[in-house]
Amino acid sequence: MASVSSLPAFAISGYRTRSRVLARSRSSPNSGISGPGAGLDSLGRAATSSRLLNPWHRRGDWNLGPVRAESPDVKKTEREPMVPPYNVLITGSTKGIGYALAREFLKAGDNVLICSRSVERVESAIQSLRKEFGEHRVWGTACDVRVAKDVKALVAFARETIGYIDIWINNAGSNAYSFKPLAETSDEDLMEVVTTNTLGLMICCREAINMMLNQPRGGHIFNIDGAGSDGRPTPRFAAYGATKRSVVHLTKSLQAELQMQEVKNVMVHNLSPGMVTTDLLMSGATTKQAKFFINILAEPPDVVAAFLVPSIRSVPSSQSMKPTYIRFLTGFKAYSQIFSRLAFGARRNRYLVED
Amino acid sequence: MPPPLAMATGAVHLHISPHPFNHLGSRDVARRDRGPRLRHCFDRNTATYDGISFLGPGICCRRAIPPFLCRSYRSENRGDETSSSDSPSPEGDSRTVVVKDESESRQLKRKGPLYSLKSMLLRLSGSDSRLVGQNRKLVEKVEEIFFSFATQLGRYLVTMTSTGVILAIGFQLSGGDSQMNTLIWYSWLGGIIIGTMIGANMVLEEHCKAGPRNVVITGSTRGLGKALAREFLLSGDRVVIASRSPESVHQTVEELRENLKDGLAVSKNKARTNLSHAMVVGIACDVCKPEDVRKLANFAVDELGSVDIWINNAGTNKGFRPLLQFTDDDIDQIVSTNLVGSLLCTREAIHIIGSQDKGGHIFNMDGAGSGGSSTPLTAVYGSTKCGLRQLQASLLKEFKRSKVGVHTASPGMVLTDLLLSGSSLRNKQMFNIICELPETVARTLVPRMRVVKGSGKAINYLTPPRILLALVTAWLRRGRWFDEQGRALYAAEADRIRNWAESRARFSFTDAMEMYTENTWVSVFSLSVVCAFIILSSSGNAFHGT
Repeated sequence: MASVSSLPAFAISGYRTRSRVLARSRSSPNSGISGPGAGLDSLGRAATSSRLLNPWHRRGDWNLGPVRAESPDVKKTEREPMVPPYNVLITGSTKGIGYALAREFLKAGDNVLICSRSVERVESAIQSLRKEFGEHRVWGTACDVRVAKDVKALVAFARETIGYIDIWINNAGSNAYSFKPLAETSDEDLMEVVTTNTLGLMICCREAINMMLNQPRGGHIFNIDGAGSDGRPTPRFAAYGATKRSVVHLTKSLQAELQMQEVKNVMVHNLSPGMVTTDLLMSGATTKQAKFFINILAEPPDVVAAFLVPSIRSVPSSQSMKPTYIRFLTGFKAYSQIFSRLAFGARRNRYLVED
Repeated sequence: MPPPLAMATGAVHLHISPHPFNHLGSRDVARRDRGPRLRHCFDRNTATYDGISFLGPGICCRRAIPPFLCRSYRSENRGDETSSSDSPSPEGDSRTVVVKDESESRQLKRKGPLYSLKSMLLRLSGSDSRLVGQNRKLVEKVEEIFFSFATQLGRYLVTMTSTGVILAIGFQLSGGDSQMNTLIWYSWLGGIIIGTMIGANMVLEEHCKAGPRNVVITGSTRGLGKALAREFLLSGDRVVIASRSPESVHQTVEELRENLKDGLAVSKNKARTNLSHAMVVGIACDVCKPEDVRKLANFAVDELGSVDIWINNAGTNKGFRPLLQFTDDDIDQIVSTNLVGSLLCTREAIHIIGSQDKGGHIFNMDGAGSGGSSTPLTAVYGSTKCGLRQLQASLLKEFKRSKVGVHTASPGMVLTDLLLSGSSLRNKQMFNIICELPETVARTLVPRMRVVKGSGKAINYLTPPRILLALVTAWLRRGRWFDEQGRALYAAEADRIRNWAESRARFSFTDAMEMYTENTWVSVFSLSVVCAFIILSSSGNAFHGT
C-alpha cells in the first residue's frame, strides 16, 4: 500500500508551506497572534474564541516569523519544567488495568483523578484508594467518554480540583465482553465497542490537547492500544481490533499534527499493556488456543502497572518531547515465554486450566 | 535445467488449451467478418477464429483449412447435417429425400455406431410427427457439439501449421546451424507459452464477465459511489443504490436510468443483450443505523433475489483541519459513517452472502491512512480507515473457508466532494498530478470487481506503474483539473457523462492492459527475460564458435 500511504505527504507538505508563506506575509509587528491561525482559518474553519489564549498560535508565529530571532529561547524559558508529583487523569479507572495504574501512581507519590461511567463504582474506588493513600490525593467523577458533554465536564472538574493535568491516560475501552464472529455480534455491542474505543478516545484526545495547550507545564497524553493495534487479525473480536488499530493510527496522526502546528508542550504517546488478566480478556477465554496464550502471555494488572508507571513517569521527567511507544509485552519477551512453555512446560494452567 | 522444463509443461498446456475455448469462451467472442465461403460452411457455428489471433503469421493459413475440414466433417455426419437443415424451403426437402435414398441403399453394407445413430435420427424425423420438434432440437445440439469440436480441431491445426511454417522458415534461414536451430526451438516454445497464457486469460475473463451481477453500493448518490453504480449498470448489472436522503436517491435512480437508456441507444447488438438485464433501484439508508442497514439488506434481497457484490462505499470526512477544530458532531458522524457503518453493512452482507449457495464478495473502500502512515488534518478519517484495514484482516481469518469473499478496493485520489472540501490552492496543484475523475477510476475498478475470485484481494487504482507515470508526466499534468487560481477546469458531471458514453464504446489500450491480472504480465515479462537470456547466451556461443 505504498500508494495510499504516500499520498498524505502531499497534503501535509502543501499545507505546511502554505501556512508558512501566509505567516510570513502577515507578520507585521501588531498581528503577532494571527500567524498560522490565519492559514487554518482559510482552510475553512473559524478559529475558536480562545484563540488569544491558545499558545500554539502565538508560538507558531514566533517560530515562523523570520524577523524575530529570539523565538526558541523565549519559549523555553516560558515553559515550566514538569516536576513530580504529577497530576494524573486516567479514564475508565475503577477496575482492571486502569485501577492498577491509579494505585501505582499513588504509590509513586502522584495525584490521581479517576473516572468511569458508573457513579457507584467511582465512589467505591475513591473510598478504597483514599483509605490507602490519604484524603487529598485522589479525586473522582463519573464520566462517559462517549459523551462529549461528560468529557468537557471532566475537564472542568479537573481544573477545579487539581488545577492542571500532566499525564492523561486514555484507558477506557470496551469489548462489550463478547467474543463472537462479526456476523453474530449484536448492534448494541458493535456500537458500544466503536463509540467507546474510537469516538470516546477522539473526544478525550481533543479535550486533553485543548486543556494542556493552555497549561504552562504542558502535558502528555497516553493512548492505550490493544489486540490488533499492530494490524494483525483479531478473529472473534474484529470490531475491537479495528478500533484499537485506529487508536494507534490516531496517535500517529496527532503527533504529526502537533508537530505541524509547532506545538512543543503537548505530546501524544502510545502505551501497550500487553495481555492483562482483566474481565475484558478473561471473558474470551473459551477456546483452547485462547487459554493457551492467556496462560503464557498474560500478567495480572498490578504487575503490568508496576512496570508501566515508572516508564510513564520517566517521560515527563526527562523533559523530552519525543513521541514514545511504551510496551510491556515486547516481541522478544513474548517469544521467549512461548519458547519456555513449549520447551519446559512453564506457566501451564497458570490462570486457567487447559485441557 | 529449469527453463526447458518449464517450457515443456507449457507445451503440454497448449494441447489442452483449445478445449476451454469451446466450453467457456467461444460464444462470447465477437463475430468478425468472414469470407462468404466460410460463412456458408460454418452456417450454424457461433464460434469464430478470434481466439487464436495471437499468432499473427498464421492468418494466411487460416482460410485454407476450414473448407477442407468442413468437407470431411460432412462426409462423416451426413445424417446430422441434412436432417438438421429441414428448413421450410423446398430445396431442403429435396435434399432430405436424396439422403434417405442413399442411406437405404447402403443399409445392407454398413453397420456401425454412426450408422445406427443416423438411422435412428432418420426414423424419428420421418415417422413420428410429434417428435419432430424434439428431434430437431436434439439434432441441433449434436450438430453444435460437432461443429464446435471441429472448430477447435481447426484452430489447433491452424495454430500448429502456422507455427510449423514459422519454424520451417526459421530452419531454412538458419541453414542447418544446430545452435541456431535450438535457438529457434526455444523461441518457438516461449512464444507458444506466452500465447497460451494470454489466450487462457482472455477466455477466463470473457467467461467471468458474462451474466449480470447483483450489486449493492452504499453512499452511491454522489462522487465515486455514483460513478461505480453507473459503471456496473452499463456493464449490464443489477444495482441497488443507497444514501441517507430519499430525495437524492430518487434523483440518482432517475439519472442512472436515463444513462442506461442512452447506453442502450448507442450500444450494438451484443452489448444490448448484455444490457437487457440491467436495472437500478434505490432506497434511503443511513449506514450507521442498524435498522436502516437491515432494511437495505432486505430490500436488496427482495429486488434482486441475491447479492453478488456488496460495496461499502459510504464514507465522510468533513474537511481538512486539526482535530481541535472538529466539533463533537463532526467526529461522531465520521466515526459512525466510516467505522460503524462499515461494520454494520459488512455484517448484514455476510448474513445474506453466507446464506447463498454461490457466495459473494464484500468490498470495503480504502482511504488515506489505510496503509498506516499518519494523516494529519484528517486524523479522524485516517484512523477509521486504518481500523478498517485491520478489520479486513480479521474478517479474512473469520471467513477463511467460506463462500464469503472479503476484499478491499482502493480508488486512490478521486476528484470528489470528500477530497475537495476545504482543499487549498496548493493542494489543488498537487491534485492536478495524481487525481482522477470518478468515472475514470470506476471504469478501471468495476471490471476487476466483477471478476474477483477468492478472498482478500486488494483492487487498487493507483498501482505503482500509474504513480510512476503520473510522476514522470507531472509537468504535462500541471493544468489538468485546476488552473493556477484553483478554478476547476473539468467539465460538469452531465457533460462528462455524455462524452463518456461515446468514448466508452471505443477500445482503450490501458483498459485492455488492465484486463489481465498482474501475474500474467509478470510471467510474460519473466518469460521474455528468460528467452532473451537464452538467445543472448546461445548467440554468444555461436559467435565464439565461428
